[in-house]
Amino acid sequence: MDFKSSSKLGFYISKDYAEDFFRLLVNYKDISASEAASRLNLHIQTAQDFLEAMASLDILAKKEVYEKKRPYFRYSLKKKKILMEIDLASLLSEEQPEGKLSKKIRENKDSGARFKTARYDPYFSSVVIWIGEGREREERKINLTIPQGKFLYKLPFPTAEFQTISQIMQEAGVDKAYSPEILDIVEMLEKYDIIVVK
Amino acid sequence: MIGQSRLRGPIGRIGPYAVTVFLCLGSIEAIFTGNFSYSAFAFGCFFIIMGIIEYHRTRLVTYMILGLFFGTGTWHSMARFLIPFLSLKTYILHVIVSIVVLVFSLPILLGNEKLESNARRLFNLAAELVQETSCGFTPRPYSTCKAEYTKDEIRGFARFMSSKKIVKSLIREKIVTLAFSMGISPFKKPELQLISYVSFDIEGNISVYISEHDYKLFKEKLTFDHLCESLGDVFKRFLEYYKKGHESRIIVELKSGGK
Repeated sequence: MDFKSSSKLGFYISKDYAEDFFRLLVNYKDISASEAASRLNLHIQTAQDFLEAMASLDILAKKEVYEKKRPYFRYSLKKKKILMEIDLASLLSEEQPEGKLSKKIRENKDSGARFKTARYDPYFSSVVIWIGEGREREERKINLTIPQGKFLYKLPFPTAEFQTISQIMQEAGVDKAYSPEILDIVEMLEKYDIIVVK
Repeated sequence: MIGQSRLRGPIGRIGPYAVTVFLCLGSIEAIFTGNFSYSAFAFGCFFIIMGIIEYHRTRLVTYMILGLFFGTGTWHSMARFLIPFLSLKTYILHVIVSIVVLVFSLPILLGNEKLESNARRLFNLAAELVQETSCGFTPRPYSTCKAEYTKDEIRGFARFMSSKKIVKSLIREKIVTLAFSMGISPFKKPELQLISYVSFDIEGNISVYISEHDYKLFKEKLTFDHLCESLGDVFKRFLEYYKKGHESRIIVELKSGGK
């Protein structure tokens, strides 16, 4: 199951009425949204959303039937066991980040970011950036991991020569195993114009 | 450009000129009106304002206290003719108290003045070889060159630089920081981000941080990374002099950097 489907399932399964709903579905051969809503004392829209979500996750089968000329759906359970398995490795931004590591970067001029140095060591512990415009503008503090802090400590200044991410990592003594988290912070700071890419 | 200061002068430099101007004005006023009450009032205001400005700049309350004592003292010199309970005796008492305060605060004032003038020299030395003016200021430390030194050597160097009032040193287990500033006094032990510093870690890495206030005192917007690099080189050179036992060269070179 991909992360999006898992989070959808998690969202509905965490509802107070979820257990009762599934109990109904297990015991009934099939059921409509209005029947389930009246049985569980829910709003029909709530029942409809739940059933539709489960159908989209392939847990329920959906069949269109007619009552006189009015069509409606009846739902029946497709499987009696739901397995939720999430492969977190699929969240890795890129399996082969070498391409991204060769991006040349440096700090943007007048970026407005405030880097906070760790108390006793030569690396940054956090970076404070400004998000939004005018009255909507707000401060956002990002706490950095030690490898990220070491990496940003060596980030070229706005007037300095561009350097590749891997060069900066090497200078900062950051192991390649930390590449994903380095790329993550670079992407985020690039998004907020703190870092500029050549 | 060498030998010429690339920094704006400190506001304290106007002191002697201002005293001369006020004395002249006082004399002219005395010739025409028989007293110098307006000049004395303005002179008193000048002392108080200077005290507040210097306090704001250095965060040393001593400046403000002295400004208040001297300012009100100047007013006192004229007010004793106008206000019944003030007399020559109260004025003399005021002057004595002011002198006592001055004597006690002299070590702080002189120490701070020396630190500040040495900071100016350091910045001038660093700026000598920087020609580009593309700004690029960023409020974060610049990781500059590497140097070879032992823990004892770097600690000895920090103590030497501190004893000569070139910097204020902060010696910690893993890092030695040499702080200096042309604004907030390092005597106040402010947050490090408010003043400039050069730090040496146990692995031989040298980092340079120039505060926004110090950078703004440059007449031109010198390319920031070049300036940081150059300042790092100055300290690295001084460390080499110290390691070879040529401490006097540090002083000579520092004095060559114009105020």
